[in-house]
Amino acid sequence: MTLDALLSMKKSLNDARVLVAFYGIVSQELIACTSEDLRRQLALANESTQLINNVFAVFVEQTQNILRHSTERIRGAPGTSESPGVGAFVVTKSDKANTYAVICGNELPSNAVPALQKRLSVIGAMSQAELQEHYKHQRKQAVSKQGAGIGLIDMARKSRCPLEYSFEETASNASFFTLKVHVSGGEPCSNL
Amino acid sequence: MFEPVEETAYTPAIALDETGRHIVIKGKSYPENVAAFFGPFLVYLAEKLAEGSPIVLDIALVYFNSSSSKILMNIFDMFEEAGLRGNRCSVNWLYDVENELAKECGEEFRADYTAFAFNLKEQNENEENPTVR
Repeated sequence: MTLDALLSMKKSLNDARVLVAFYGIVSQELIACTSEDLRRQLALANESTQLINNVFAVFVEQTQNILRHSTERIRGAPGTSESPGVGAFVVTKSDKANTYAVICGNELPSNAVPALQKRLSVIGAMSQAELQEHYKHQRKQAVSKQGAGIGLIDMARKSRCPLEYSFEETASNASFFTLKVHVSGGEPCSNL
Repeated sequence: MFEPVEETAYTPAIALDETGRHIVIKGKSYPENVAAFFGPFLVYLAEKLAEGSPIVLDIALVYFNSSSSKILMNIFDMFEEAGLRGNRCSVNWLYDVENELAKECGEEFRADYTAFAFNLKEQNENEENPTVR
């Protein structure tokens, strides 16, 4: 990468009203530091406690998904089980007042795509009341040792906007999953 | 006996009084692995409840992720079972007056349980944090 490429990258991030952008190893420590910094940035912008809490919550759910599910990993030293997930995240301010978006992306096996797509479209068709029921029901069913499998529903509830997502095949049996979650302090989204 | 746990940026403090029956969980909860973090505490709680000890649990979480929410549900399920056996337990769900999200989560949990006292308590910022006595 050339020296001036960094400046042009910074300019395009500014143009897109980016608060924070990252690609690399997403560790638990990174999530903890970045989420606290986000909290401070939003407080300095005089956002409401409720909006700050919602952005924080969505950010943590999104980035912990990279931690748990990304198949792009840095292998640890021989004999250790450490292999942190690699992924990308961006938090942007939208044109609309008091509205932000948390966008995350990570690689997953292509054969995991149909099931995830199904879950997202089920969630996408639900009202807030249905999401609440679905959340409670899935929480009871959850058996996974790591995530409870209810992060997506939780984000849809906090967002009150449709989840935007895409899947792009990047290699044989590898796809890149991108998820954009809007968080608004005002009315549930209308023209985002 | 359960060793108290200190609060970190992403895991809550878990504190006990000298009787081991008054428990406070306080802070933020989004550990990398919830099962590993809460495992020893759940074992302790199950033992205490099996003894028939009436447990008072104060929960003052400013944030918890969805997998911690599953753990909280497991804890309340244990309280519900104990309550049905006649063990008088209670949960105090403490939330900051400005933390609407924490209040809603507490209300949502409370609606699902009947066999133990689930109290919602609003706190002002300047009020003292819950501690074990």
